[in-house]
Amino acid sequence: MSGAPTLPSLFQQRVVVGVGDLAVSNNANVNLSTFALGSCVGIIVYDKDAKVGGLIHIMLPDSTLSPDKAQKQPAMFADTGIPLMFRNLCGLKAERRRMKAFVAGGASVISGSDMFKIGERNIMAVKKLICTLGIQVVKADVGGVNNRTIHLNVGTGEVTLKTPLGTSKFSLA
Amino acid sequence: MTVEDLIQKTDTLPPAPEVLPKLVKIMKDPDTDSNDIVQLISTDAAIMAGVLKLSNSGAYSPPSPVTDLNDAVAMLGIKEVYRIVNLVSSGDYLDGALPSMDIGKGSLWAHSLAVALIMDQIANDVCDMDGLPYTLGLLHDIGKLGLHLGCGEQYVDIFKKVETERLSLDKAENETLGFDHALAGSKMLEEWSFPEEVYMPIRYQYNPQEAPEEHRQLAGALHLANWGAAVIGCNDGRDSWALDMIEGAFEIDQSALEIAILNAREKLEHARQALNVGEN
Repeated sequence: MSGAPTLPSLFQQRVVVGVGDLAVSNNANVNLSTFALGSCVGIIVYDKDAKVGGLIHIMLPDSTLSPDKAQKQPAMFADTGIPLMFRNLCGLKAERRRMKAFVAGGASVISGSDMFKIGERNIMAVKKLICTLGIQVVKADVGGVNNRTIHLNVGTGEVTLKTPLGTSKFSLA
Repeated sequence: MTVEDLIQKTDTLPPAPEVLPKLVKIMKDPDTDSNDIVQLISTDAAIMAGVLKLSNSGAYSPPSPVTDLNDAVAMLGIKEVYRIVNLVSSGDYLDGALPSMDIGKGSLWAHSLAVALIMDQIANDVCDMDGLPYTLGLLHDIGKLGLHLGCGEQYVDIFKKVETERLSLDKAENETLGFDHALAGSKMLEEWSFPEEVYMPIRYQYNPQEAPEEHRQLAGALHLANWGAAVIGCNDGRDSWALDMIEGAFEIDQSALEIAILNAREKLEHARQALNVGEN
């Protein structure tokens, strides 16, 4: 029957990760998604053997700005959110040496002086932390002037990246 | 088409709001008391219902139910009721989708509210009238509605300019139409009898350095708050980052601005849930 949903797609669940939030899952029927990454940075991490994935939507680089807010919502900041996501992934039996990461976001204004450089500072903070953790970043789509939406299919490791310029798909498996 | 032609297209533009311009004028008067405000709001049943709904929501969590406007003023204070009326009134204009700009339903309202919440934290010190920065934030993009309704078909060319020449949206509009959405919004608000304290900073939000001195700081704050809303993801539309940032537009410490943005994001979530932004 043309156009009918396939059986596996009927069981897919979407978990939407908001600004300053994170999610990890080992449920093969789950899609992790985050929308409208602007100057924020999103990181998708996947362990293909454990079939475990995570997604975080970071808003600012450094939690020293507001330790109270970092305590309430650690994923808001790169320095508190990223270690937490990795702890949660390891809690689901993912192993660092097998993890592959995709980084997206960090946009900035089209012209003039981006004096606060939040996008750029977010990208730098994320790269530094991921490097310290020894995670392999297999793809990055950062900077520029567009919002980005990213999805991870936890069952397959397939990542979808949507921008106003188009949609691309690739695998972290 | 000139901006004046656009404003005169009364069959295209929405009708003028009744309560909000009067409310802004009342708030300018230092002798205003709560009775003046209650009396004005009572003339509009829809706004009154909206005020009561929001006053009772999780955004305010009153200790006991707010059953009438006098309760709302007593429990939340005049200034907060002023903000609620702003929010409820602007929803009629900002909640719809603007397909010509790829702005989804509820998105312009959410963006405007985010700008209002940032303005409320960074700009009250540079203005005599409490609540005015909030009003400016909510109304700063009203010109987009006017342009979508009056000449939305032109946005194919405008976005082509944005994307190929890497121009900010206001510059691409100026090159294509001869005016931008800031000027259009300012003219609409003037036509709707808002005082100049409202329409002048909105007029100069993209070039605050050219604003008359008395409006320059608020125009500069709007310039920055508009960008701040983009940082928290409230910038739906094809022009998401088609912004030009003017250095020194508004003097503020980086961490103070970032704290304002974080606080705005938190408050925005409460308000969106309470108002069902984009779901009506």
